[in-house]
Amino acid sequence: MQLYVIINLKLKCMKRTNLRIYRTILPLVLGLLLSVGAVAQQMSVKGTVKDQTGEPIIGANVLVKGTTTGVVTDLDGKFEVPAAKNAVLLISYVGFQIQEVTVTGKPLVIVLKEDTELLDEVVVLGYGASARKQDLSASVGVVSNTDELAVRPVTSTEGMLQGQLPGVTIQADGGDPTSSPSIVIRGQGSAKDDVLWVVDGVPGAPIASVNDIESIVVLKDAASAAIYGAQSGAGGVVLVTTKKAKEGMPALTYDGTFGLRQATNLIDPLNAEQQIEMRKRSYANAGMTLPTGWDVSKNPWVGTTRTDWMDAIFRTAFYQRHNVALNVGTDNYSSRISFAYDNDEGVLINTFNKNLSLRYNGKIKLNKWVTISEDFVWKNTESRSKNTDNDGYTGPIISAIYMPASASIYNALDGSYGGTTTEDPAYIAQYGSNFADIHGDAVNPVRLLEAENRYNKTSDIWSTTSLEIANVIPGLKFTSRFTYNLNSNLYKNFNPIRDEVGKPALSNSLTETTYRADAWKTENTLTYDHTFGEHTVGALFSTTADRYSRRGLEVTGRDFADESEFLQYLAYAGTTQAIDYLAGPDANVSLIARLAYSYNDRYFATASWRRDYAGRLPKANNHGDFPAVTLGWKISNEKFFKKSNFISLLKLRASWGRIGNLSSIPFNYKSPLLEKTSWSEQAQYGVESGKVWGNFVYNSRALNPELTWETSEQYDLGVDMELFRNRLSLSLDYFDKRTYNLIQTREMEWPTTIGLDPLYVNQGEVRNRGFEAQFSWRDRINKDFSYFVTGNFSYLNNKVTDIGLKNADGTPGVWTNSKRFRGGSYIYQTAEGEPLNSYYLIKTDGIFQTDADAAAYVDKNGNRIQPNAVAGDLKFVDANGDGKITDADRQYMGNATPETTFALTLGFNYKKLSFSAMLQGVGGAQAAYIGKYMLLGDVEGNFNRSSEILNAWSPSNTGSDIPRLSKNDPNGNFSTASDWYLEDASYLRLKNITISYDLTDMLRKWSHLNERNSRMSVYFSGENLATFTGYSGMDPECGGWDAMKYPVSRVFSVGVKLTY
Amino acid sequence: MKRNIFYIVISSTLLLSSCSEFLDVQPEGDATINTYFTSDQQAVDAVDALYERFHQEAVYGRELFWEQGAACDVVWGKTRGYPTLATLKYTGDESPLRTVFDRMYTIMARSNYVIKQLLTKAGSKTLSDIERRSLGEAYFTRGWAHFLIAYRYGTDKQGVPFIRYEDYDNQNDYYSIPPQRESVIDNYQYIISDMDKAIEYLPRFEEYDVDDRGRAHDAAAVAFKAKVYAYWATWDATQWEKVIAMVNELEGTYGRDLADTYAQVFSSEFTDFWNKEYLWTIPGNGGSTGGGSEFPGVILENKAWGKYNGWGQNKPSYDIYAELLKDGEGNDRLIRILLEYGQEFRLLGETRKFWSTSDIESGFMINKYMDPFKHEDAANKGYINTNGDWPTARINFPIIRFAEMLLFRAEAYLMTNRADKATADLNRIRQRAKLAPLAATATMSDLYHERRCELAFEFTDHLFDLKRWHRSGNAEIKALAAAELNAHPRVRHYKDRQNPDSEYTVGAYEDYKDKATYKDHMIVFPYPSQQVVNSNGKLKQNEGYN
Repeated sequence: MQLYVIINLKLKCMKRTNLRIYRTILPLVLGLLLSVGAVAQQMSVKGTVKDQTGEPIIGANVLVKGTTTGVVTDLDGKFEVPAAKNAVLLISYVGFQIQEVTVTGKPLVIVLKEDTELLDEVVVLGYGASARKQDLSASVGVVSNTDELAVRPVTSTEGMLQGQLPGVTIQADGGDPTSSPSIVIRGQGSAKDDVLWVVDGVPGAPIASVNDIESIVVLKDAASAAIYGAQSGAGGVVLVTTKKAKEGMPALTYDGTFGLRQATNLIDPLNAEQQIEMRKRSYANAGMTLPTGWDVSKNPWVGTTRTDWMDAIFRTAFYQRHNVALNVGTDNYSSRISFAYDNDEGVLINTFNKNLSLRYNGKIKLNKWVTISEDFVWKNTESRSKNTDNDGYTGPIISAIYMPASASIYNALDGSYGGTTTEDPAYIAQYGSNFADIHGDAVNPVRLLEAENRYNKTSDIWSTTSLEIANVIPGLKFTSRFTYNLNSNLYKNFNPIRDEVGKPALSNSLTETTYRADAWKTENTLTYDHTFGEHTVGALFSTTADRYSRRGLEVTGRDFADESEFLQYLAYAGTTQAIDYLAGPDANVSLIARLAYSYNDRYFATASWRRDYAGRLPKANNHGDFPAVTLGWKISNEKFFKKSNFISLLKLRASWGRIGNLSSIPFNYKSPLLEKTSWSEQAQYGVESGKVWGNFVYNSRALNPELTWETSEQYDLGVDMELFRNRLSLSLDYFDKRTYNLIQTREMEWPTTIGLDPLYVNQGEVRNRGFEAQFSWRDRINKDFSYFVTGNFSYLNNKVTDIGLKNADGTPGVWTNSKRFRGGSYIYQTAEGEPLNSYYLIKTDGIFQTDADAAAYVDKNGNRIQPNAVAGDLKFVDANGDGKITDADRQYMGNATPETTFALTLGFNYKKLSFSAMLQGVGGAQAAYIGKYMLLGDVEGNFNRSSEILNAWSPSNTGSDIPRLSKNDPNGNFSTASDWYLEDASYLRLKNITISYDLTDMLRKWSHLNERNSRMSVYFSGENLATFTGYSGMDPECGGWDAMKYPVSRVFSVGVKLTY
Repeated sequence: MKRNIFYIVISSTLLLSSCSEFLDVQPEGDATINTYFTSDQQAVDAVDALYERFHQEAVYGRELFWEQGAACDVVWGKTRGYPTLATLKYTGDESPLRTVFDRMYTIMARSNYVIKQLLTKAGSKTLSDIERRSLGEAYFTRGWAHFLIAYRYGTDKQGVPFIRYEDYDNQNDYYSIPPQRESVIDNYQYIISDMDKAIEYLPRFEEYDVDDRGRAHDAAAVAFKAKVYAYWATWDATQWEKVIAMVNELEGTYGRDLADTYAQVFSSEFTDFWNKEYLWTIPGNGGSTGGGSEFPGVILENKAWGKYNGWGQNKPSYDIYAELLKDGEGNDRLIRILLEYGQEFRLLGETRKFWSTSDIESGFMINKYMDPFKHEDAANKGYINTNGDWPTARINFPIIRFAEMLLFRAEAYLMTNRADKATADLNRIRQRAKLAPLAATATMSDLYHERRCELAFEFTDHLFDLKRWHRSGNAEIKALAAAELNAHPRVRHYKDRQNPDSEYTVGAYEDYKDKATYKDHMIVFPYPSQQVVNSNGKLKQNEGYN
């Protein structure tokens, strides 16, 4: 009976209506209470549990406080439980506040109050510190509806977080299954703005599966992140809490998601006939003779469309995720084991990311003082992808555009991969040539994705053991934690001979690499929490230490006489070459202190301080201090404040803190090391005896002994409100973040004439200021229908406030950036007062419509500004008025960071059906669609192009914004870094629609499942359903540099959630 | 509980006190800059890093050659993103210029490090033979890289940036911006002094065994000196005497001479590699571990008629054909240097008649480096690279050969009024190429013809010859240079491009027709604009480019 009750309790705890917040503390509180047994005079207590509308609550838990005795209310909300007189009953139901009622002997009527007040949640803040959400004085973003988010077909935690919190900008940066979206908290402060992920208190630990996440807390302001000091990453900290072992009888849950994903809005390359037409026009417009191979009478092969290459490389991909969790626990020992498997197939053929993971969480209470817990995660990953963003040469997507449509995927003669043209000897005999020359070095993209034989598996094991000593002195707790991580990988890739026409490579190679990374971290923390009358104090002192090293081996074998799969082993290589290495070791130590104080639930203050020591820096310069303070004032608890139905909570917050970004400094930076490279190629000498270079060693590093980490300081002012009987909650924040000592490679004062790689320097300051708003409206109209609308908005202003260097004439210098696409020019440069990584381009002013227009574009002396321009060429703005178009005419034109980000989610529950829809978007973002250099211009290479090129300007198509089609480019339409490449990348996306239906009733028709209170829900979800944007490329979410990156895909999925 | 706290305090104190040792992590697997050069192998590995840049596409593989598009011997055969290199509308930011510029300074810095460390070691220990040789090689590569920058960017009014680590004691000085020397003559003096040091430390070529042939040797340094003096003579005619002296030394002291046949110089047989004419090369090889210069594959017909990944770039113009033809229809050198329609040649074991369909028509292909491609199954036999993305071939790819030395000496004689001696030198070259000797005493026109033809499509920098001649006091050569610099190359347009016997017309090459008029400031390139910006005022742009 007792066991049965416990099961019920556990399962009731899990029972919840959708879109309510799953509560962590409840089972823990109950568990503690259950652990102490009591025996007293028993009587039978009867009662009814109702909600505020008077409706009976079915399935509410009624527990006799201090015992393990409990029951569940029936269909009429009634219960009967044996209890002693004056015993206290605890009545709880998910979504309602817990109530305590003293047994009087009379039947009880208990009205539970709805717990819509999310602010009652307890929020973890790192190193064991936590606070009630409504008591927070720092700016912290909380995502606690992770279970609902996880039913979406999201493949990463970042993807799940997108649009959930204001000021947390997540950008997909393409749709490669092996990479995750980028996350930037409150604006980019530096080029390498890392965010620290802390999972269950362990920095850098993996998340076994999104289904294992209980809640996510983003420490947005520096005051809250400062407790992680230099480890924070100038970006901030994300704390992830996973689901833990709970008391209760064995319970099994299963979460499954199955989806289909498809790429949308792909580029449409020219077909064979169109390519010939385009090429004819391009050569003719340049006054050049068309190469013979484009003449269909001489090379008929080129005139027939055989392959839709986009179709050949993209597929409808299958996505699946499974998570099985088993939980069992008594008051002294509890454990939870979960297995997760996900297979995320990419929309490009043969790309995938598979994970098989095991997670264990267990807790053993040795006695009333000592608790030991263990977290163990083993993540086994297998992945395969292909770089799509390699500057326009042989990425698979760009190759699918370059490859002529007249080519075939497979060579009809022997079934091998097809090249740019036919290899049929009869054809060559008849036509004299197969004219491979006219297609340039395009490669078969299907082959790129398929031909290599690859094995790539990573095993990542994390074990964290914690010892907790508590209750010796009330409020005092000591926690000691040790984490060990072992990460190993084996990569083996056989690259066969590429004998196809086009770009043949006649040698094969086998690359094998393996590494083993060992890391440990330890943390020893003392906390003290106590309330004296109206004063509440929380103190924390902690020390941490960590160490990391990675050993690896890389072997290359070449010249395999036999390419059979079973002989793709090094023993059969003609030559082999191997190197090994040690990365690191790295070691860090820190001291942490934090003090929180509150008075009368009105005034709140916290102060923290952290000192970090980093082994990678020279001793004299290896430490830094990271202080923080926060203040909060709950005005609504003041006597003068009249609480009303209109407003129930009003709180002002202010905070200041400092954090650092250690990850911007490489391991062992302090050591002046030589570089080495190894080549197995013929050297300068010994050619007759086949001497190869082997290792060569050189001095190329410049060392800055003064180097220190990037630092960021931030002020935050905020206000939290609860309005309309807690139906509306509102949060507003203003922040001002100053990131200084930016680590950069020294560009200025480091011309390449120095001959060494640029020095790392601390230089400059970036300021991010912004405003964030978040609201949530939740209302229940009646028992069957409730709805909600939540939304957030943030505005960000990013600019460089100190460039940190001066030109020779005393004016502020600039930060240059040489990133370029193929033979194009650089496009980024940053100046003081401009945003970080600004586009620095020459402005265009449309297209010359006539030769006369072009000739009439003259300077003050009447000389032509663009002497080579004719009708159809771009008109460049001579910004400095010197009569020439040069780099001096470039202007700053914004950057890729969105100025505004916003999201809106609406949803409702009607009986067993729930529905939610999420809109997400960004405004004021720019992107350089740099791929247009090769897609819409026919200058470089004789590749195939986008079908858009046929819309280029011509005398009969004067409305076009694509410059005239020409084989050469005397006006520099394409080679000039102009704003013709720059597009507005703002968008509004229907990010997700999810419909779910609760099938529990159906399930419970089977009495066994009814007894167990089993549950089941099914889901249908659609992701990236529609995008509204003016951007002309595949997807505006490209990170500001669009060179035909792996596109974001649309996904439809179904899911099931089952609790046995 | 108090005891617990005590333990906690004790353990954290212990942790902190041992913290400084704990944090003192040391890397492994890479030497530090001050603990290197403890063995001969380390010196060999450091010197490899000095040579390797020259082998890359960005230098002698291809990029250094694009600038020749502004002369009239070569057309690109393809459109490129930097036609300003061919039209003399230099920006300095053309990618071949930028990348070569960066690589040369990398080599100078790497060489500097080796020189500094080995000189320091020599201060306390006796260097081994291999270390002495390595020191010589480092002086040699520093001089070589410095030279490629000096003459292409330096004038009498403004030299190029250069520092020597051995002049400094503090490592931070290596991080300072190298000063732009007052005049290129200062740079030439430094190069000469580096080559002199190289001669001091390097062995004779003949002392190398088979495993080391191809390394720098003293005659190569002397040859570079000759070339430096010849270019220096552009600014100071008294240097011509030194040119003569250097070439005499090569002939006398070092026993250098012309190879027996023109073909031997470009042969794909190892036995021909180290002929009498050899001075300095990038030895190339094919197969799966081939290396050297990829230029032989770069200039091969695009896709090599479906047989190999030829790149189809840099093709002969009709102008060079016409110049070569002056020595007679079908002359030996003409046939060896280029392929014209209908000409027979061997490709991978087959005999073909030449025709070309690729990209922008020229009607010709460079034949000079085609010997390795004649062999059947050439890739597997090691004559050409199995990797078509890195199409090196077995050839001793010349950088400086003795014929160029003779041509410099002939020029020096002509410039110092000893035309008879120049005639003798030019005739030696003509006779070796099986051409009739000059009918009369040599003139500067003869020198122009001979230098242009003999060295066609080698990395001897024909364009710079034209540029320096344009400043010459000799009106005859100045006029010839001006004519070529201001002309747009001509090509053959074939009626049926696939037919080796097709009719043709001679016409203008179809790309980059908007060539600027040559002006004397164009003797040098403008510095890459980003480097001017990054130097923060310490690197002054060249005159005429502001």
